[in-house]
Amino acid sequence: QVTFSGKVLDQNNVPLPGASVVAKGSANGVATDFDGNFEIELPGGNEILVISYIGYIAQDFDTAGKSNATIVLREDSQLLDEVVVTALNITRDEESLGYSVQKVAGEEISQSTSTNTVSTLSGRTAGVQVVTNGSGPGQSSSVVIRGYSSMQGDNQPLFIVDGIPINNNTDTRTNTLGGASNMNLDYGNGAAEINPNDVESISVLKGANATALYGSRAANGAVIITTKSGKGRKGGISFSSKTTFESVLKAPEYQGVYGQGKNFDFQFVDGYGSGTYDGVDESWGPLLDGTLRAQHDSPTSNGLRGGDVHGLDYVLGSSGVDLDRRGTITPTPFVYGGNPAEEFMETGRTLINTVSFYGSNDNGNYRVSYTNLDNKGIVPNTDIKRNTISASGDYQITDRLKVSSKINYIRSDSDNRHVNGYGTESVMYLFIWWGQQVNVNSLRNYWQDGLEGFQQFNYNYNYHDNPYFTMYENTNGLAKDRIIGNLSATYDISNDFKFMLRGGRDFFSEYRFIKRAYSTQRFPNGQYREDKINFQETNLDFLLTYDKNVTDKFHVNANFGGNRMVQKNHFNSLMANKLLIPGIYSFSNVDGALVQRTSRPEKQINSLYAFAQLGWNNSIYLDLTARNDWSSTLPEQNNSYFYPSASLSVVLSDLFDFGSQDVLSFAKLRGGWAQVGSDTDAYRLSDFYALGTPVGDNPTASPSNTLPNFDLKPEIQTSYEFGTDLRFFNNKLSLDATYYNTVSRNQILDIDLPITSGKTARTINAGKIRNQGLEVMLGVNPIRNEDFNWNSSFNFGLNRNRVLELADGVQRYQYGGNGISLIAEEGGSLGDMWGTGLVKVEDENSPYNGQVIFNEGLVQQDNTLRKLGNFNPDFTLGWNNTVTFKNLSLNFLFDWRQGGELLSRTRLIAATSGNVVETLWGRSPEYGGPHPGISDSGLSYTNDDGVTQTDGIIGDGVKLQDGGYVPNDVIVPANAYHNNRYRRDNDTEGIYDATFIKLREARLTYDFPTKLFKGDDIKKLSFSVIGTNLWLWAKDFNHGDPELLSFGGGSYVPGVENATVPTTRSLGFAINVEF
Amino acid sequence: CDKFDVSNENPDVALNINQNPELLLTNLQRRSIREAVGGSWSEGNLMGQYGARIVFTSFDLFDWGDQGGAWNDYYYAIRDAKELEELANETDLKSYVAVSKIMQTWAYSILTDMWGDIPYSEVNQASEENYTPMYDEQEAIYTDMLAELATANTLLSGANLTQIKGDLLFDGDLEMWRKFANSLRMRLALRLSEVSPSVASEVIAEIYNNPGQFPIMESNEDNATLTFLAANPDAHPVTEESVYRVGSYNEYRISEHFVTMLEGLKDPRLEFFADPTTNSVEQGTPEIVGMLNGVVDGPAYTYQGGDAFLSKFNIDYFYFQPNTNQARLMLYSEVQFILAEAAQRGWINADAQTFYEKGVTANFEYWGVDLPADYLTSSGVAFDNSLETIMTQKYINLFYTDYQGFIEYKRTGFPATIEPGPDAFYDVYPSRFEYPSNEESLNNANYTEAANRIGGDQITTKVWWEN
Repeated sequence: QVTFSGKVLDQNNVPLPGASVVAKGSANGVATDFDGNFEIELPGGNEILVISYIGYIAQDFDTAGKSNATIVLREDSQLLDEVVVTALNITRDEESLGYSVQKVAGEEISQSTSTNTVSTLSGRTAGVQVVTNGSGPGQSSSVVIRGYSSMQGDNQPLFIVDGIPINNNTDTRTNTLGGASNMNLDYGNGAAEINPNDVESISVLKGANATALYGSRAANGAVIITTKSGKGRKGGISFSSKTTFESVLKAPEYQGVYGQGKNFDFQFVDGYGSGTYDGVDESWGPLLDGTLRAQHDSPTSNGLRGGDVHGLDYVLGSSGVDLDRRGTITPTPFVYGGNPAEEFMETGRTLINTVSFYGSNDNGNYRVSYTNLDNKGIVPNTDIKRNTISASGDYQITDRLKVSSKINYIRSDSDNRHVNGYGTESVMYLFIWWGQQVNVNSLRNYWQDGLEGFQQFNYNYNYHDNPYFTMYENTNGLAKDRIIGNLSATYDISNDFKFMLRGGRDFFSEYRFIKRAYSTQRFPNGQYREDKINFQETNLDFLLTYDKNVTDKFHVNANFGGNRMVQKNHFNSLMANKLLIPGIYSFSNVDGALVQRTSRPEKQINSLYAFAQLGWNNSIYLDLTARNDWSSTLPEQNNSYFYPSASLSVVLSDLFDFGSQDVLSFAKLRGGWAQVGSDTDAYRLSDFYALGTPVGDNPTASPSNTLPNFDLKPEIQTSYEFGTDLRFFNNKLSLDATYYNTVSRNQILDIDLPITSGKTARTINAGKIRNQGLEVMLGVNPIRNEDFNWNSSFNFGLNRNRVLELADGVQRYQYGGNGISLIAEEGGSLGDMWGTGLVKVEDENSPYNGQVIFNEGLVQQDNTLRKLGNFNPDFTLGWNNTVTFKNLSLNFLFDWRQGGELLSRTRLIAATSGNVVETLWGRSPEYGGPHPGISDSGLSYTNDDGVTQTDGIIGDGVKLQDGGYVPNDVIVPANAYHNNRYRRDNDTEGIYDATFIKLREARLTYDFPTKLFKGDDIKKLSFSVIGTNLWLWAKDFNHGDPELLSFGGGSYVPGVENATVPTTRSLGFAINVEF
Repeated sequence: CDKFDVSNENPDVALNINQNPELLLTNLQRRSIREAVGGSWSEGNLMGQYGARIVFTSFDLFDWGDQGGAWNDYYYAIRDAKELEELANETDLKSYVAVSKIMQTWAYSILTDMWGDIPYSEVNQASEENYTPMYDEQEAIYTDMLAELATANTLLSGANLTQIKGDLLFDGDLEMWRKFANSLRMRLALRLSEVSPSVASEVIAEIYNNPGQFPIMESNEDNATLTFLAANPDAHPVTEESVYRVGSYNEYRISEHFVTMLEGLKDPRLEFFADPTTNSVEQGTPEIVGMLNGVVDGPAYTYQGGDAFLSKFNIDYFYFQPNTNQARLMLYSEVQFILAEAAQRGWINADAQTFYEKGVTANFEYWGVDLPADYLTSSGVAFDNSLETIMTQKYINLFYTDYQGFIEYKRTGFPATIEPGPDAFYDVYPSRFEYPSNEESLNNANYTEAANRIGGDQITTKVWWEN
């Protein structure tokens, strides 16, 4: 037995950490440490070592006569080892692919500061758009690859974990099947539950060529997640810990100058309107100048607060105000209460700790990990806790039979998830309607004195809930058990034939617990509700593979396979919409009848497919695929559909001699054509009666609103793409560019009908939508030497969408909206936002063309729908950098989004309530009012009642006079002007350019030199400081992060911000140790 | 491969409800009557100047917007009613056929009175591939509505009628339905007083002169009213129980116009309809003060000193109690005013004054307000055989009853005291709602034809009967 030690370097003498050193023909192997050093015991005396490292040419090294050596590996300029995971989890050399697949390495994901696996794709992948609803591990992320192609589908890619499709739904049935007045709740999307620390790599399959083998369900692309295994790793333990602290990235810009009230006046009496404008929830009141005024939190003669207005015998259903008990209010200074969103939100905290054990030998490998995620949100009293156990193993049972299995158990718990959107249950809504003098801290003690559990305390009782009351009493809990697992067996029938069988299942049981306390605006007598989701999807696959090098140069790989997918997605909701006893959240405590809702879709797809790859001389590859699906959701005559694909890859640098690799190191051209068909949702083929809520004892039913199509056909998407992969200067510069063109036909649409026809929609196959775009990935390695390395990559994506055809006789098709309408029309594009605006001069001959026409000094609404913009960006660019200096590395990622529009409902509505900065205009001479243009007005004027005023606005525009236009000269109060201009239907007044640049992630890591731990078993130790969303520049939008989206009516609505909780900035640190 | 282990039949819906037509009846009644009540609170009371807004006053300035919600609700109810009628015809359940026709006609009458020409004869034909129903002229719609109600009356006069279930309005009492049908037929006939007085007089005389064949409402017992339930979701929609926020309720105040009228008549119903202002109660001198219609935001909120100086609608009766305030489709008292007008016009041979006084008395009785001994002889109330006097009392009678107060004002011009507010966008009082934008986009050809035919889709365009 000898001990051999050495060091592995690259050509530039840079150490290669993690290189594999194996005694040839044995399982005896080690990996190099951070400095490239290794030490290996050789029981059989001196042997031959095989030294390998990804991207480098493996080398045999004869140790005979030596006890140590420095070994230099040469970079493999042809990158033959660059493998990616493709459809059906088949690992392929990237150079053999005729289509674009983008890979994100596991380190990028596990070390990313994002706690959400899906969010890490943002900026790291070209042509992939990720938008999140707020921030944090519990919130949904929406992923769209190569643009929106379907008007009615969800446009989300298929998520695959270890070969098994998983559920990525954002299940919004709590919102759409409620029946009661609960508002939009986001319980997150399925793929976000995949633990980032367990991810080995992610492959993003963008086009139909890449996804053809997945068929229907991957028509919008596929995100293939491979989780870690113990393969090729010596036994060990690793531990990683990440701690981050979150805060509001950007809050709406409130005005902070004038307080609650109207007409520059305010005095609190009871918050119901008995005082001076104390019933309003608007800030048109007096200057916040410290004047003493009675307020809801002013002390009273009886030692209570001004807002403790209700009597102890107060019974809901009567006004119940007892001001004698409350006592007289001692006025307190009327001052700005601070930006309520910033004051209310707390510092969030996320802890993620993972420990994993792994190992391997000749016959197999294993890995077991446990992760604990503990998140406390920025919204008070919100959290998410997630415990994940992941286990994987491979075992070679005989020479021919290998089995492998991976299983993930994920338990998610939350005491409370916050509501997002416009309405009284949402805290951001509460700050749209607000008094600027209200300091949120005055509301922390949220019960009225003596009425604990019964009546909340607030600054206004006419409309609103106290935000602390909302967050601490009206909770939305979650308990979810999920298991994602698979078992597969591969049998080598002969040298050329092998057969694989695999079964996988994703199933979960999810409970949502919704509580509403007494005195809640929407539930004066409280509510208790439980929603239960039982989901299961089972996939069974077989695959027969023939793989042979027919000649030296000709290689064939042919496959035949099948899949059977059964999905059951049951939802059951039970509601007690009125409670007898306050604070008892039980169905036995119901006053009246319980309300139940169910939805139980089930579907099945059976598939057979074949695919082959023909390779010549490792430089030309032809891929052919064919698949047939049978879906249970389509009518019998149309439920079978076939689609093929073909793609070609040519490695030019292998075929031709381009001379020195110092200039052009590698060149490849690729191209492909593909079709994908897709089915629809379950239960769309019948005309039925929906059973409704009974009226007392009388049951109800109503005919369905959608006229079904009994001859529904599958949607078909046809696409082609071509691209190139070029590398220069010994790979210091790489360029990967793809052009794609996808046309979706026969879309399954519910075309709106006028209700006068008896239905509100009919299902048809129609439409033709084209997406074409460009994806460019540019990699640069400008500096590389022993101490210093800088890697930089750019991900550029550009997509153009065009609606080529709609249905016959349909000019416009509305497929969604929230405030604005998402409308498709021929020649337009998906994502076009339509809305209404102001009446303007429409006369090209008029000098006033385009100006607003005022009536009595007020704008007028023009109900005609017009196109206001498109929520899709003109392009996106991510810039990802890794700079390494000795043991220190810095990683930072910039995201630039150019163009696209955003509608801010916060601006529109908080301007009618006088709470945002826009509404200062016209309130006093200091803020531009009254309009200086008025004759002899100076800074004051006399109104119709003979009162001298210093506020007011003369809107810029014209008015009608004697049949023509003259400049508007009518002065109106600021309140009237803003109320009218920013009416929530005046969408034009709330539209912004959504352009932004963000420093999305930054990470500084120090790798401790392992020599520090000589004698110990620590193989690796690193410490990182990490941050997310550290810097934001928004071109236009002043009320938050332009990346916000809204969540309404059961789907995401991009391009609209609607009282969405702000996104977060996070800062923290991470520690990684390997033993 | 085309064999599946799952079914594509939704387990949570019914494909056939032939044995339970009442499911449709309850559903359509709930939907349309809740709409009527909601619409009468938020729009009807403003258009009729019973109430006025103190904030967000644009509706009160005649920015009436897209009343697509109301349109949809009535057409949903009509859709259900037509399905019910079809189902009942198949199984020969005449009572359901009649009740369906009456509910349809009631809903259609509100639609055509508020919009003018509307889809009528081609409604509900999506299953026959007619996705864009044409608009019928109002005259033809009126002719058919009157005929439908006559048919309903005939059907309900038959023997051995099947008992109906699920009836929220009359709890299955078919005689009450018959009275409602004939009374409603008189209301609709009267609507034609200016454009087609001969039809109006003929129909009303026919009904009045043949009480055996055409029974009508005879007392408040026969009122077509719905009492809501005490609990959500079927409490009165404008109450605390229905999560209508008190702040929203308080945005509406009794109108100066209505207060002035009732004070002028020394009408004690005022104290029932309205609460004294918060401020006056605090001062110990309770008084009722109305809000002026049609004042722009800002000034509106400071009118008379602000919200503490303006009266709310009786908040205990109309808001805090979940079901005291009924939905009024038609009251017995209205029938008396119709007869009074018919007599005054000489269409029937009877004493107008008797009907008039019965109408007033019945309305006091309905609200539970004591009729002062001298009320019927006091100035402005005492019968003087003028249409104005009848219409004044009828207007009070139509308080909070869908859009009826406004509609009758447009027919007769009474009360003449109704006029556009100081900041209103039009000098003339508007007549109708614009067609919903959904019709403009989804049924464009028919919409355009109708809009041109009625003289433009504006709120100031008069409907046919208003001429």
